[in-house]
Amino acid sequence: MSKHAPCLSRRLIVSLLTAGFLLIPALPSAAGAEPTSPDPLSLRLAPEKTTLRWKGASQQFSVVATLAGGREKDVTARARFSLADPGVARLGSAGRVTSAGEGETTLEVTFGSLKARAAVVAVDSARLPPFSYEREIGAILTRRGCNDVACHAGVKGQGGFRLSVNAAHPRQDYGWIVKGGVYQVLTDEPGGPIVPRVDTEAPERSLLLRKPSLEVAHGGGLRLEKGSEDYRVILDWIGRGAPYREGNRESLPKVEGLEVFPREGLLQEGGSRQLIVTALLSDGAREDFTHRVRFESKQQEVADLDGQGLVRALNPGESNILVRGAGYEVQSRIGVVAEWIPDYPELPRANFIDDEVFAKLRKFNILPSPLSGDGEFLRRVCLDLTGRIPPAGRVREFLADPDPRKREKLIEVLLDSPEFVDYWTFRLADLFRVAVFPVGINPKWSQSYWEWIRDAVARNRPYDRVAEERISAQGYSPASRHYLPYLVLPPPENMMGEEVRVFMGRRLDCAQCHDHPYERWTQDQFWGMAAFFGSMFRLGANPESVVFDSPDGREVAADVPSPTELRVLHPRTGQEVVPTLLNGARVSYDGPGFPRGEMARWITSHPYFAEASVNRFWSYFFGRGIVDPVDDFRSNNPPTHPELLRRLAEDFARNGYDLRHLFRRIVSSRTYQLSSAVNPTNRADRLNYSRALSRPLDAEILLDAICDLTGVPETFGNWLHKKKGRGGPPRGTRAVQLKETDIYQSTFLDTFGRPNRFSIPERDGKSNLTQALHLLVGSTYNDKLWTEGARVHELFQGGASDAEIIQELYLAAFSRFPEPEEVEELERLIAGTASREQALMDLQWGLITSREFAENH
Amino acid sequence: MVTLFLRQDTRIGSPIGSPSPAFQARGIVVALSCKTAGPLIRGWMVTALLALLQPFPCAAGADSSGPPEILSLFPLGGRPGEEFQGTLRGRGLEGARRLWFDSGGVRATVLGVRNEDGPKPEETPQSDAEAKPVQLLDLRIQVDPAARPGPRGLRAITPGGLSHPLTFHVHAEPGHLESPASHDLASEAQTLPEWPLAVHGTIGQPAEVDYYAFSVAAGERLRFEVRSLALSDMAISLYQPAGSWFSPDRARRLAFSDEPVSYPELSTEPVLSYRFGEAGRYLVRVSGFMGEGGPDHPYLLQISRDSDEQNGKASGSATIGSGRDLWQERSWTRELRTDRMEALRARTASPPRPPSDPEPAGEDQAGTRETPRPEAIPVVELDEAPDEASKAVVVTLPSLLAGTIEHPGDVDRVRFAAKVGDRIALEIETPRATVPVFNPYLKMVDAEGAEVLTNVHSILNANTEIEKQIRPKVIHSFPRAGEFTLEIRDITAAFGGPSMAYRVLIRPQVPHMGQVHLEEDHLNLVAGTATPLSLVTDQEEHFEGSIALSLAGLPPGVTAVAGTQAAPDAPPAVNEGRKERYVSRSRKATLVLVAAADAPATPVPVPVTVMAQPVEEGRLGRRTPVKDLLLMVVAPAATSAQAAMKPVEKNGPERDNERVSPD
Repeated sequence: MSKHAPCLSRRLIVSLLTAGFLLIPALPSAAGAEPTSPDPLSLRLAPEKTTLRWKGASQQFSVVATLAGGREKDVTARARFSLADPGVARLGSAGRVTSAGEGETTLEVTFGSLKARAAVVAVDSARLPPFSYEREIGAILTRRGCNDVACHAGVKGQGGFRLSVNAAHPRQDYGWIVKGGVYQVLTDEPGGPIVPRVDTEAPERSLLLRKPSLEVAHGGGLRLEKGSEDYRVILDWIGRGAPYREGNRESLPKVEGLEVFPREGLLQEGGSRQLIVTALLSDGAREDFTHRVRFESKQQEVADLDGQGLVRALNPGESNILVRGAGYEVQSRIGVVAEWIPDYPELPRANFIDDEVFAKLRKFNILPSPLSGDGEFLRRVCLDLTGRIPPAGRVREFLADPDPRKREKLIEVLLDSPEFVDYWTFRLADLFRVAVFPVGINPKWSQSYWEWIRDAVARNRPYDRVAEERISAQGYSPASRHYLPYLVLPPPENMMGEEVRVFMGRRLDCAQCHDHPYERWTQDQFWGMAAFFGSMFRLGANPESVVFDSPDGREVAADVPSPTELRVLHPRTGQEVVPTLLNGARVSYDGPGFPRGEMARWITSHPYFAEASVNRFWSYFFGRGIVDPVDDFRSNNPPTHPELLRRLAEDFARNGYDLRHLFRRIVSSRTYQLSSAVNPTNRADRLNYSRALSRPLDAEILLDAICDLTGVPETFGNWLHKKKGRGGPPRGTRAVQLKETDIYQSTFLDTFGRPNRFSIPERDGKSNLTQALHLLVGSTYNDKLWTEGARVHELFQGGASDAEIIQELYLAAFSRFPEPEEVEELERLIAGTASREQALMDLQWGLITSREFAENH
Repeated sequence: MVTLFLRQDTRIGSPIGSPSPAFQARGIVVALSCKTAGPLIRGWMVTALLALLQPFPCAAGADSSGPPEILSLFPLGGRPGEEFQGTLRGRGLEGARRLWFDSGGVRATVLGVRNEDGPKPEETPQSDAEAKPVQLLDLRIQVDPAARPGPRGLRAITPGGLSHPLTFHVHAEPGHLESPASHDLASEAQTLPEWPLAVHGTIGQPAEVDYYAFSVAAGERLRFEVRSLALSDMAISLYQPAGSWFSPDRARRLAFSDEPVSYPELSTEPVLSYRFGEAGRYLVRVSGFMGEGGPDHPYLLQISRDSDEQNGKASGSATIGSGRDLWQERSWTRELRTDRMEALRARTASPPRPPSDPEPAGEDQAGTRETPRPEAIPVVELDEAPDEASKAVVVTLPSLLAGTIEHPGDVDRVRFAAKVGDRIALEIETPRATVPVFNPYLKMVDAEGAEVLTNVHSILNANTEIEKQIRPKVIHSFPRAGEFTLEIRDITAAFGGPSMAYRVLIRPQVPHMGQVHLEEDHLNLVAGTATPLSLVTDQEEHFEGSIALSLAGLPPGVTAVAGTQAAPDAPPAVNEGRKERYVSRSRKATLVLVAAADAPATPVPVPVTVMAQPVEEGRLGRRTPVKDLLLMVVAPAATSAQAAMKPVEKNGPERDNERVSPD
């Protein structure tokens, strides 16, 4: 057997280590967490009054019981309804009331001994409402998801068919359906062929029906079951000639908004709650739209919906329920709490982070895991602050240290370490996209840019200054190199989009072609911001290129007719766009600075900057942002802990945008220092920071950790300019120290997710088959074990006993002593093999391939 | 001596600086008819009648051994009074006789030549020259005790001729040789005994770095500079070997210098000044850019106490040896002096200043009126001028504007009047920081604020991209009269400070002979062969005359005759914009150097000067040296080589020409 091939003992070691990973002590069940079901104190019926207009109009009611402690419980499904005058309205299932005749009546609901009432008025009960495309057909398209941004309301539509988001522009949608034509992004004019999507002669042959019912191929799948009520409504409509309106136009008011009830609600785990959506009409009336809208839960592991507005609580946490219809979108924030814990313990708190996190945990009846053990904390904080696993000697030292303040002291040591500079330079180089390939193979530029980042980290330069310098970078300054990813400047809209995304956490891209579907960002705002980058030039030829902004916003030395106008033109109006901040303030070229510099100052002084920054950095410590994805702040992707985010941002700004201060604040919190062990109340929680979540190590960190554990440094090849006598980085260079990762060959890094930095890198940390193969036969996992001078060799040659070697390896790999049963089992295993050296190598292989090693937990 | 006259070349835009492919091949010489210089020969090419001369074999390649190629030298310098052994690495060093230094104070004695042992670190040879074996020339180098510190150009002399130069540095600090033990980790740093010190080391392998340890007292400020050869681009890092919580061997980086600028006129040598707050032991690391290393990457690390005058001084590689341009027209760093107008007129063949000239010509010591008294251009200091556009300083032409972009966005302005048809030139000098760090942007606007002129040259390139370059000189003719404002700023509006000083000369145009460009800095002539020398002359500010070119100082047996060359086809840019404003017109010329078969070999290089003389309407201007080069006459190679040196047959050149044609 080759010495490099895994042997039998490996399998045993793996199973042992897997067990070992589970040996981390689990929390006992939360004491006294017995489910309780207190009697309700009061009962409420919502809405308290409704008017049913037109024949067949209905209203969904919700019955809410208030329990002790102020908690509310939806008892709609268990309550008993009755109507005082069945001639006015009739009862349907689950609290739905439908008009039956003219008049006024009272709906009474009974739950236990409690009663509640609502007034029901029915008018025009014998008349059908005038037909309206937006009210009937638009609502169906919304409810069926046809006009979602992921479908026909995407920027380019789908298959040439474009609908407005949530039927926001019904007249346009109607045109695309009834007149036909192929949608073209930058013009309102339809492209050919112009064929109606309805066939009024043979309605069932209409594309509008055949596609969603899958009579013909449809990329969006089955959206409209043939024979369903919605199908029938559309079929009838087409058969009537597919009118936009029918009947008395004046009598049909417009929808001017939506309301959802409740806007916030708290559910018991396993409970449910009926949402009620009400349209606000232009004549001041209100109409039940619950069955005309589309519901979506943003955190489906917390709560899901049945499509009719019934929310089901799955796991403790919070979820925003998005309600879309009639061109509007509203949200309901639903919290799901675990069983009531009457003797919820008073939790020690280190700083305001704990105040916010623990308050929410208390609200949801989630018990946080206990404080992590010293070994667990040590490994985690070393990885998070420096990207390194602690050496075995330091682990022993730390575990033996009786100083109650040893964690605080360690944090300070790490924050001041050169390894901290290495690691956060690496992190920012990732975010700021330092690479050689994108910069036209000019490593001088990328290294200069990298050095600028490193200097900022080493000197702890305020992050707002770093951001401002990068956004406003000009000349031959190192920061300006990021504007030259290629030999030409990127389009203004791309440059703006990246800066806003990195430093404000917002993605404006959708507004490039149209007003943002869900946000307030308009196309005008997008191009107003892009215009700040519109007067940028590249001066000089590679490699001495300089970046500058035209001093007056006009083309400098327009001696030759430019194929690309300097001015930023609005894509739809064709008009020149003046640099305009998101707040509407225009910035002229007459001021003392230059507009892009003004914009940089505005961005870094805007509250968005601080909150986006702390959110991003928070994610490096917890594996997810308070807003997640970290650069996708929007109203329908709200923070899980808004107050925590606000306080972190405020603290960051108040302390001079000091990254070390922010990191200290985070890692000093008890929240950060919680154990990763689960308890029954937080087993499903991944949103509320009730425990440390295991995160896979990034490729570079993992490779460095393997090198540290094996004692064999990595050697990187340099594929660039080999002919010029260029080599790799100096001996002993760690993966996180590589200035531009893309020029240094490493199968390992590529396999384990090194980003290419062509765009803002987002590492998903997902496993793949190649990684699995690499674990088994990859050179990194095997060759290093047998390299001269490897740790095990040294220990072996030094005469260490099996127990000593096992202990040393466990300390170095996991920052903990092996459990006695682990030692016993491993010793037995080693003793049973023919080659002790081989067995020890296999042990080390087992360690570096284990989850406990490859994750930060 | 043969004088070559050139006629107006109406084409503009031919690239300069790259020798014709035909010349890179074996000496292709096209004979021209020769004509005695008449009083008015403008518009006609006067050619030398090479046909009357004996046909000569081509020079390059005639000697199979060829001229030497030197790759590197170790050590790269020495201290006055020192004598030590050194090694020159190169190819074609057989028979090397001596080293030649371009200035005094250093001598070298050749001790012997040997082939390099061991595996060659080079990659697959990229050319025939690289396929030759690498040789080592052992030297004894003596630095005169009175030698002044500074760079010296060094060349090898072999029977094949003279090599290109390397730079040898005479340094004031005691020398210290890197020891052969590995020291590419902080924990392996070699301890330096003292400082000031000049450390001679080599980045001997790709990815190698060299650590050195030294001690300083608290508050000491030291200066670290690395000198290396053109092939290298070194960096310096300073470390405190304090260890870290993770590793006792970890050093904390304190400072770093790798000149980030990659610009033709600027040095890539790193320089680092650092004040040590604490006494103790520190490390300095020398490394190659992108891990470059190998035997041709020697360096000289100089460590000295930093002084105020040194502090902030840019590292620079002095121009050494021959090949210098003796006149610079379009450089950011040429000095614009108050006698610039006279200097320009000296490059014309204009008649003497008429008596009506308001400034009477002066008399020299002999009492003649040959030389007019220099006209001093008034200097206008703009730093104290008000910033408001409406208060721009009014100037007359010529004026030398001196100022500083004191803060980001600073704009200095002057106002002047111009008449219809006035022709002006704007010249810009950056005496301290220069392009691309400081990018002076000049913009002239009329009374309505409309842009009239800038020093930014825009072209539309073949990829239909706009390319913009700022230029240190721009000319303009006014189509209408008026009052104009000249704005001077940094193009970025993001930088300012005392280093961003400028001098702008605004003056009437003086049509004159511009710079003469010549690729070579030395020539090796094999006796009995001819070698063409390609020159490009710039015609500045509508200079319509001719330029007579000649060589002075030719050794015995060497003559120069006029020749022609085939101009390579250069694809034009899509749209070169208003090139005439920013780039001079140019002409090409060829001088053919002919070494007679019996021309005596020169033991040492002979300095030869390219001379240029403007000719306008039959008048000859001042004969002006424009460029130095070194010339050696070498004997034909041994028998084997002579076989390849058959005289060229009558149709030989044409046949060769066909063979090497780019087509």
